[in-house]
This record gives sequence, C-alpha cells and structure tokens, in this order.
Amino acid sequence: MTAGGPFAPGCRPFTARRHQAAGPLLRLRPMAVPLPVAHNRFQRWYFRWAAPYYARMAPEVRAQAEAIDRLLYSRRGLWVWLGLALGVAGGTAGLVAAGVSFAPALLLTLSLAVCLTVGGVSVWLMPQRYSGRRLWRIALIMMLGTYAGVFASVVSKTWSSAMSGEQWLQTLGAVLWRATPFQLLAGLALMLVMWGTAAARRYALQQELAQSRLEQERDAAARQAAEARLKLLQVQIQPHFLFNTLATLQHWVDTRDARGGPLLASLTSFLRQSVGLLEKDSATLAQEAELAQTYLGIMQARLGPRLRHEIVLPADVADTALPPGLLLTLVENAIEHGIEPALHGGLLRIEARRGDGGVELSVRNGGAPLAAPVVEGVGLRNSRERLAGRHGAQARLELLRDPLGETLARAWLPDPSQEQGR
Amino acid sequence: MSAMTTALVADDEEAPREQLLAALVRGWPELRIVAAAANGSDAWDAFLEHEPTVCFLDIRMPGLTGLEVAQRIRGRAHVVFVTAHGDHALDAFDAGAVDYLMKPVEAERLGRAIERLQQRLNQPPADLQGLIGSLLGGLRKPAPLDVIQAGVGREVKLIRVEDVVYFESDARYTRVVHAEGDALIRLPLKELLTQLDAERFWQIHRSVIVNQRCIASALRVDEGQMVVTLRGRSERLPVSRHFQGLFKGL
Repeated sequence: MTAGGPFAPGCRPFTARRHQAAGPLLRLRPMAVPLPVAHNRFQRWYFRWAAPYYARMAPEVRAQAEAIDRLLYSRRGLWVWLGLALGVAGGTAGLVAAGVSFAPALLLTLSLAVCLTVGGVSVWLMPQRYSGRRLWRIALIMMLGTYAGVFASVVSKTWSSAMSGEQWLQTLGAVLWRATPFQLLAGLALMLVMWGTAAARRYALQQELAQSRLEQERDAAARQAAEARLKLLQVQIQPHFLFNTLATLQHWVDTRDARGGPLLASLTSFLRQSVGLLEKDSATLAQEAELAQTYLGIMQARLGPRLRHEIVLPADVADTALPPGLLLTLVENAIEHGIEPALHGGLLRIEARRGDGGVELSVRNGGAPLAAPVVEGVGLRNSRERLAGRHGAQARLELLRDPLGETLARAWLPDPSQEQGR
Repeated sequence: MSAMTTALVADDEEAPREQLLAALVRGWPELRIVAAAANGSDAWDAFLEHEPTVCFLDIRMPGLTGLEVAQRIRGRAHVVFVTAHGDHALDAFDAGAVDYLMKPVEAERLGRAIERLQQRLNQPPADLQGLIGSLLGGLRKPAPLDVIQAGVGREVKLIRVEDVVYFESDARYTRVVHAEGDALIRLPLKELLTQLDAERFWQIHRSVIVNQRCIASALRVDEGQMVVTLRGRSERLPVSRHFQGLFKGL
C-alpha cells in the first residue's frame, strides 16, 4: 500500500477568513471601510466637515467612528437622538423647577449634553488621550466652565434688580459657596467616569492589539511552515530528475518499449508519495524507506546495471519518526554525487538499526569517492537543521568517507523518550 | 567540397541517448553518426578516434562531464550540449549563445538547432573555453588518484602517481611506466584519464598520458608528426595532431 494521501495540497493555513476575523486592527486595508452614503444636505455637510478629521484617524479608530456615524443615521439611531432630547428636556425642566429661568437652563443642559456626548465618544474612540495630566486639565476646564455658568446665571438673575455692588458680590459669593461642593463632587465623578471608561477602553484595545498580533504571528508562522514545505517539495521533486525520467519515458513510449508502463507507474507512485509525505510534519522510517524504494526503482530503470541497491530495515525500527523526505534527500545525494558520476556505478545501501537509545540510519554508496575536504551541500545542511528541529540537539547527521573509500551519510535519531527525559 | 558531416552523441542514460539518435536520423538524414558514447571518457576517446564535426554532449556524465569533454575538444568541433531542465549551466548558455538541447528532445527545437548548425558548419566552431572554464570552476570534483595498485605476479605493488613517468594504453589494460619499472593495470587508459590531475598528466596521444615533469623536449619529426623525449630515458612518445598545441614553442 502506498503512504501517499490524495493529491490535495494541504498547505493553506493562512486563509482570508482569519484576516477578516482579526478586524480592522490588522491595518491590512485601511480603505476597505466604505464611507457612509450621504442621503441629505445635512449629512453631506457633516461628512464634508468630518472628512479631514477622519483622514487623520488611524484606520481602526476611523472604522469605529464611522460605525457610530452609521448608527446615528440609522433608524436605531433615532432612539439615541430621542434619549438625548429627553435628557436635555428633563434637565432643563429640572433646572427651571429649581428656579433657573428657561433660556439659561436650556443652554446649560444643551451644552452639557453636547459636551458629554462628544466627550464620551471621544473617550471611547481615543482612550489613550484621556490619561494623566490631560484628564486633570479637562476636569479643570469643565469645572471652570460650570463656575462660569453659575456666574452667568447669577448675573442674569440680578440684572434687573437694583442691587448695590456689595450686595451683589455677597449674593454671588453665597451662590458660589453653596455650589462648590456639588461642583467638586460632579467634577470628580465626571473625571472618574472618564478615567474609568478610558482605562477600560485602553485595556480592551490593548487586548485586541495583542490578540491581533498573536494571530498575525501565528499566520506568519503558518505561512513560513507552508513556504518551507513548498520549498522542500521543489527540492524533493527536482526538475532535473523529472525531465530526465520523462526523457526515458518518452523514448520508451515512442518505441513501444514494454518498460514504459511500469516506469510511468513508478513515477506516478513517487510523485503521489512525495506530495503525501510532505504534507505531514513527520514520517515513519517505513514510509521513508518506501519512498526511497520507489525512487530507486525509477533510477534503476534509467541507469540500468550501474545502480545496485539494498535496503535493510528491521521491524523494530520501522515506526521511528523522522522529518519527511530526509532519507530521500540522502539517497538523492548518494545517486547524484556517488553513483551517477562513477563510470561503473556502484552499490547503494540503506540500513537502519537500533542502537543504544536511538536508531542509526545510514546511506552508503560505493560510487565516486568523496573529495578530500568534505564539502557539504545545501541539502545536507538543510536536513541536519530539520533533524535537530525534530529530534533536538542529540540528533546527528554526518557525511564521511570510510576506510574502504565509500561515502557514508549517517544519521542518529534519538528515541523520543530519551529526549523528554532530559 | 562539402565533406560528410559526422556526429558524436554522448549521454550516460540509454533511453535519452537512443531518443536523440532517432531524432537526429529523422531530422538530419545526411548526418553520419560515427559514435554513441555512454560516458564522458568514451565520448572523449571517440572524439579522438573519429574527429566528428558535431558533438552532442550530455552535461552530467560519469568519467568526464559534458563540459569537460567540450573543454578538451577545444573548439575542434561544433558542440551542442544536451541537458535536462534545472541545470545551472543553462543561464550561462543563454548568455553565451551556446547551442543546447533540452531533454526530452522535441523535434521542433531539434530542427532549429540543426538549422543553426548547418549554417555555421563552414565557419570555425565557437570558442567556449572561457565560458566552460568559469562553469567548471564552481563544480565539485572527486579527489585525483593518489596511489595505483598493480598486481605483479603474486605481489600487489603500490605505485605513487607522482612517480609515474607515463601511461600507455594496451587494449583493455594500461601499462604504467614508473621510475622503478613498469606494471600492467586492469583499467583502460580512457578511464584512468579522468582520475588524474590534468595539470600534471598530459594526454599527448589517444593512447599515451605523460607526466609533464618528465618531458625533456618535444621534437617535430615532419609536417604532421611530433614526438617527446623524456628525462633520463630513451623512449620517444608520439604526440598526435590534436595535442601538438600543448607545445606552443613550435
């Protein structure tokens, strides 16, 4: 049976869905949020006025501001407006009942409502602005504003009555004195509300940002893994190998050679197994050996008697895990640098055996001898990194020339339990 | 005066070689294929033997690579490289306007290559030395041979390669002449050639490789013939026409 799965590339962990889930905080497409459509003159005027402010906002703030705008212009927004109007009406009525004349009462509640709404939205959207000294300053300005309101109301009340300057000052002083505790209380309360909202919002935004960063990192990691796999696939299925095999196939098909069919079957099987294996994070030695066997079968058909091979794989090592494609890389290297350049070819021998605390995997070839200072290629370095990534620092991969002049690639795969015990 | 155009085809894999041969027969019926070689050493030997006009050389071959064969041919034949996709030399070939074919060979592309070749048959072949030199510079080569083991009677002699004066081909064997005598080894000269340091051991004839340090002089015997004399020895070794360029003073 073949180890290969269906020919379905599984390397698509970075789907569009995740990006969307991360929300506008990802700042991927700041222009993707459409401007609300203006329905009437007022809205047009508002948008014209608001556009420059929007342009200066960070995309995520802008998206929220626009969401608020949209809410306020929708039917649901009517309730918000109604609430505001009721608040203003109630406030004015209360003040009038308390003895304030209508016009100043309306003015006061109206300005208070506007201030609270704008302030609230602003705190909600840009909580980072409402902290520390700035918050104090805002509170101070608001207190001064309300004192100015009290002052104005005293002036308006005493305007018509004929008071002497001294009496008037006394009245003013008394009113201010009576108002001060409430002013302070109200100011403090307002500040607390703003501070609390801002802090909560800041925290929420930070969380969101951290979350989106996390997701970004996860995406990046997934993408890197997918790219690594793709690269591996490209290395694994070398165009040189593929086209040379196709050249042989072409000739055998042209000449109706009976060897064509089996070679095509082998090539298909090899490709299916490679793709299937590379989708996995880990492969067993048995699967790897099967892939190597298929590959060697193809090379055998091409090279004829120049290639002889043996695979020795005892049952007690068959389930050993290793990075997918590792054995194939070693075998390909042995063919490319050992067997193919040798005039009379040679014997390639794959052997795995259980040692003390691990499995030793070796690929030996009696082809062209290794040049004296062993120059390691990219494939070997790459394989060593992957082996270390999977089996830890105890794993080894070395290329050497044995006393008989044969080239030996030897990997040491420590048992997983051994690794955990360390 | 057009002499018959002859060709050599070299590829280490049987099927692609046969495919190219068949395609050449179809696409260029007048071409006479004088040799089909299964490795670089055979290709070089066949070149020396047949002196073909055109050489189709696979790049990756045992013994000598196609590039090494082309380097030795030294512009004495038109060279067309044959390779599979993914070869690192392709970019250089494109840049240097070198003829090459891709495997599997397609009839249409082969037709174009043949046309180009036919147009240039009357001109001297392109000089590829610089390009090949730069390509070979980046290649890994196996270590040159250090010691030769030769059986003499019941004894196996270990001859240091640097002590060898010259190698001479003797059918499927090679005679190794060294400072202390001579021995016969079961390795054809053309195969031995690929394991020797080419700077040190000069091939001066299809059947003779000489240690360059042992050459005393080169003598021109007549118009086409040349011999070398050796230090402290009486033998004279023939230098075939192909290799007379090694001795530039003449």
